[in-house]
Amino acid sequence: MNWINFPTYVAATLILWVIGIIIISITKSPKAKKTGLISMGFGILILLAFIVILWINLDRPPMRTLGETRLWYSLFLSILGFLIYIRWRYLWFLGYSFFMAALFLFINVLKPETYEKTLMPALQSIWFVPHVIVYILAYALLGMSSLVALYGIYRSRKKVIDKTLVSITDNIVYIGFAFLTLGLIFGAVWAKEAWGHYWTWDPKETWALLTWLIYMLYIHFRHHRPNKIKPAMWILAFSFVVLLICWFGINYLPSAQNSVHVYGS
Amino acid sequence: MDQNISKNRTLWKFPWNYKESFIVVLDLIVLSFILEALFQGEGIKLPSLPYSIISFMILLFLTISLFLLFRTNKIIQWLSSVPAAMASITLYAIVSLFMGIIPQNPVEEHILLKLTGISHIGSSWLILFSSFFLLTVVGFTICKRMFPFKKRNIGFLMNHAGIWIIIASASLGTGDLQRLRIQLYEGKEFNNVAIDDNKQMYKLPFSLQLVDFEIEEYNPKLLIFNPITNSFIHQTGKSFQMIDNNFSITISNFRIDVIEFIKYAKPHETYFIQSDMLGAVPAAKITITDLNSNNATSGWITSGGFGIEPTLINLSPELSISLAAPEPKEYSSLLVIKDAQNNMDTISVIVNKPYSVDGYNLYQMSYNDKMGKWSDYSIIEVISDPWLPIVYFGFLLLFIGSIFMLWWGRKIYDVES
Ligand code: HEM
Repeated sequence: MNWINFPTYVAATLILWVIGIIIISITKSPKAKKTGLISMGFGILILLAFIVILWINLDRPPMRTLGETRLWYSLFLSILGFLIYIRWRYLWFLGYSFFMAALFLFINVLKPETYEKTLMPALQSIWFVPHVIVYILAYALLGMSSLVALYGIYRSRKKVIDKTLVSITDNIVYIGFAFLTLGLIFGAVWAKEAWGHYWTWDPKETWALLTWLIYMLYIHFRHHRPNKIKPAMWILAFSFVVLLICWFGINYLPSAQNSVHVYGS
Repeated sequence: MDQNISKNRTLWKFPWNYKESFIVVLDLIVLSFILEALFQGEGIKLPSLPYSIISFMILLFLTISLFLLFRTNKIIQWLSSVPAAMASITLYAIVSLFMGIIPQNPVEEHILLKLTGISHIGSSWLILFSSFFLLTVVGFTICKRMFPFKKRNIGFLMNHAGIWIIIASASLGTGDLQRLRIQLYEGKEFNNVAIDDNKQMYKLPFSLQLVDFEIEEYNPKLLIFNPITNSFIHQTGKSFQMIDNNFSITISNFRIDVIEFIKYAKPHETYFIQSDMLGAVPAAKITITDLNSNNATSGWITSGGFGIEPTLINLSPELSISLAAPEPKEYSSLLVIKDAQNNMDTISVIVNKPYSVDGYNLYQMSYNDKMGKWSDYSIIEVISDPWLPIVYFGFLLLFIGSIFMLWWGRKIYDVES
């Protein structure tokens, strides 16, 4: 098994990423920033090379163990973070997605016993990784937007409303909402493959839908009343509560007792 | 007093705004509760083919033609405005919230939950009204931006048309969705009788026979643990590996070699032999070499199963090794399928890999979990959903719409405002 050389690949990838991030965050010149991006791109390529080699060695797609799926998380998170940065220039997002990607790689190096852990049959699907990835990104972005909103509410008590803050918030919500939509679609297609129907009003699905609808309210309200900033910020702060319920809380709800998302237990 | 009067006067005066929109939503909720109670909580009956597809066509036709004929009408303008959209999305969210907190279709339910429909939202007047209101608003909104068509509205149209198609076809398709189960016993005759959730029986256009239910398992992993503290020992990158015939590993000053590995074995005298019997377990004969003294001992280890005790070997007081119970890799049923013309085919239905035949999808659903791998029966879920292509078309539009949003963010939409 080629996992033995894994730490070497990870070290190379991480070094390139860290160099890249440092260059991008300390320089002002676009040229130097480009060098930083190239360094990060090479880090991604090394990770990709490792996955390809592993794939060839295993003679099957490396997607059957938790450790193997973590490799894909890292790959896609870093690629998406990279693209989103190129498009929107949000440094914090670049930092966040690469930090998460590095974290997943780290777990594989530090806790090798978990990468041997095999994935249950119902999760062995090509939809698993894309579904989880887009949700991770959506939650990160939307959570971020709600924090910015809370900050905005706090600031507005002193009668200053920061217009750029608001427009950044809008953009983050748009991107986060798009990821959330993709997460719902992937989840639905996967559910069809694995459980027979794309939508079963399972509590987990229901709460994901609720989260989606509330951010949808924000988008439409902003479109309609671009100058009413305070109510919009409140919608966003409230959405965060729903998002948290969706993430952690549903296990405690009475309706969650008959969740279908379990196989053969 | 004066204020009240002036408020009342502007209320319901066109153009309608948030207040009117949310009052309409409240009215819809009350109306649906009244209707539900009048029908004693029986809910609504969803149309099935061909009425469902006819309803779909009528909805589509009415939306477009009413818009084109009366686009200057105040009500239609309201129905394609953001306040109406916010109200209808809120209503849909409230209905989902009920689904999210109140257990659906329970055996016993409070009379109030039944008479309002909250405990069977899926077939309640409430979901009928909220879906219909949402579809009306999205529908007219699409028309507003569609006629005349402008290129820069493509992202907008993809998102809204996607959502319209998904909700319309998924709702109207519910009445045509068949989710049946068929229980098949190994070695029994062909069966074509499936049941639904209410135990009602249906004859399928094909029949099935179970040849074998299988759980394919991974090879077991070698467990190295401390029997005193009962904790596992992980050697970086080396422990918890699946074993096979040439497996070899060094732990502190011991080398462990697998000499013989039998995936399904039973004990025989002092060793293990290959066996197909019910409850056979994985077993391995290993040699342990003490690298300091070069002394070697060998013995059998197994994870145990029902009827067979686990066995382990102690290397030292703090070091024991054994096998972990194997983990499942795949559940599957090997079936023979026979159609109406008596054509037979052997197929395999695997978790996550449904088999399609004649507009039906067959899913591996369940098995006798007390017997696990040796289950004597398999339950196959038989699903037919003729609306699926339309729903998926909606997914595709929404998908493209999301990519538009990702790339253009809020900018693309700023043109109008
Ligand atoms: C996937 C879901 C949805 C997304 C991504 C979405 C997105 C948007 C966006 C970005 C706008 C601003 C359009 C622009 O400035 O060009 C908008 C407008 C609008 N949306 Fe949605 N929307 C969604 C669902 C809905 C739903 C469910 C409704 C109605 C119930 C709705 C009704 C409206 C209305 C009425 C407008 C204003 C259109 C206008 O004034 O021309 N949308 N939507």
